[in-house]
Amino acid sequence: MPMMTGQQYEDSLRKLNLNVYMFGERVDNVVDNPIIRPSMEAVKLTYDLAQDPQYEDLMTATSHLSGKKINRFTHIHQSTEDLVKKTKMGRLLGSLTGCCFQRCVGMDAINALSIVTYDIDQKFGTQYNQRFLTYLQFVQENDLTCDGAMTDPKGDRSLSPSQQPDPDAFMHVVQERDDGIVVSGAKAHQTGAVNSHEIIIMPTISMREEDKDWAISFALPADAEGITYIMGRQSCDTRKLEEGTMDRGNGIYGGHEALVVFDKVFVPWDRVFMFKEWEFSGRLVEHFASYHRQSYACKAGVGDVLIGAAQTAAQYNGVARASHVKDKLIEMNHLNETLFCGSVACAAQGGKEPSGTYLVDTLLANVCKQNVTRFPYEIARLAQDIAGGLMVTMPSEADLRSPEVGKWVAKYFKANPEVSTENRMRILRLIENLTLGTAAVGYLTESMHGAGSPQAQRIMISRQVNMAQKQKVAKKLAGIEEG
Amino acid sequence: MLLGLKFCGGCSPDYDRGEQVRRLAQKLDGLVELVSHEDPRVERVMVVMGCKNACADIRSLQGRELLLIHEEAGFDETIKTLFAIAKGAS
Repeated sequence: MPMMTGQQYEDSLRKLNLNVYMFGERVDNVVDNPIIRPSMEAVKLTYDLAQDPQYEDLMTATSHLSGKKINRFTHIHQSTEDLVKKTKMGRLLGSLTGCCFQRCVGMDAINALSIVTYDIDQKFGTQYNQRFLTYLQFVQENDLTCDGAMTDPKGDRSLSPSQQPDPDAFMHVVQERDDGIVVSGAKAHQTGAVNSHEIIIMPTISMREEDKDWAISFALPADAEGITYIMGRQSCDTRKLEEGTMDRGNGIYGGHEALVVFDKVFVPWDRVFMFKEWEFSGRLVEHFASYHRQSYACKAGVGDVLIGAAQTAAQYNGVARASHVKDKLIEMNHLNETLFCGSVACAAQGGKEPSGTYLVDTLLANVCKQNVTRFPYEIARLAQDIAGGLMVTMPSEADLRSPEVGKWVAKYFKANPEVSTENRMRILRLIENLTLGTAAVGYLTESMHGAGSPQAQRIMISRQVNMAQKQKVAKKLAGIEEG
Repeated sequence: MLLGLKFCGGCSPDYDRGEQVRRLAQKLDGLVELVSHEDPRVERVMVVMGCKNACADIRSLQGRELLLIHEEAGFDETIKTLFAIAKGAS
């Protein structure tokens, strides 16, 4: 089965025995849970679109291992064209779901590991790359969704992993056995974790020799014994438990994050891709982060939805012809397309690594993500400006449906005579959802901190720009001759 | 007449590609049968692209006659072309 349909994906999730907690209680049926299900629907779309002739050119690729057609989310980039298609796929999915579709993080993990396992082998004569490629073939053949898990809780930020009072602040080896290793720790903020078949662990920071027990990478089935998922809360999340879908804003799709706890979990050797090679921890972090910073092209897709909603709200409010509204929409588009430019640029300027995998231009990927930490906030501000205060003060869907007060809601929130009050409320709820509801987790705060907080990109930009060359030319043109 | 159909990836199309293809199929109903571009029987493939970037991957279509469309206006011309080909072949 080289590619699953959306229904097959959903059915495959039902076979997992995940240990998931939400609101202090174990979730027995993860797939049908009303708070979680919209996020599953978003991942499901990545399967359905791969089967759709209208999208297969972006959503599928040819495996460099098997030669078979596979879902692009399981593909190792073989060219800059592949990288550009990844960018376009991210925008496409964001523009169709209006949320985080969660599957890019696993793609970024396998691509980073395809490079770094090779590099480790070159230095130490190990066999990680072949082991990884065997695992990759399993992922591709079964069209699996993988959670690429990097972010440790990190404890006291001023201390290295080995200095932490609680060694579990970073994922680490607690026992080495003939048949594998036993690990403990946790990964925080794991997007799409309970919609994944597999979880791929990577270290979260560069490490020194004394931290080598924390320099590990491996993959496990998502329901391996000892793994527990604790769902993150989202603003307005319990609206999904209410009757009706209007107050959710996005009635179909959503995202989720979870804290994933590993309590003495066994990992067989054939699933271990880095074991105490602390010198390569930083490289794995940087490569994964660069790929993932490119992945934020998805925010341009979500921006497409927000811009469409803002334009619609302007029309429904009767202000679409106002010049300042038109100008705000131009600004929103300008910012949104600039986000897309950064992702396209780092892809187009990518290059081939010794392993054969193509890596994005890491400087431009960091510039891309730095823009993402800012522009969605401004786009959201302008959307709220256009929407008006009603977005956060209007009554509920239940009030609109109420036999007693529904008529007042319909009467006093009528604006454009050609538009129903309900439709006006619906589009305002979508803007609320994207800018301060459940989807704001993905569109705003994830844009800020996902794939590394703003300062992480600024450090990488300062390291990677060729300042000496810039100075050399400046001095030459200025006629400066230094002794 | 069998006609292979291939779309670009559809990241940001300027028009509804599916709707235009459905319109074309309706106009040419009985004359042209749309099938996958991977169908080994097809000698001619219509490549539908959503914008002038025209980025559809057509490397696998080498050796086949291609009808390239990258804007909505291109469909009317393609319908005329296909109509003429189909009539000529019948």
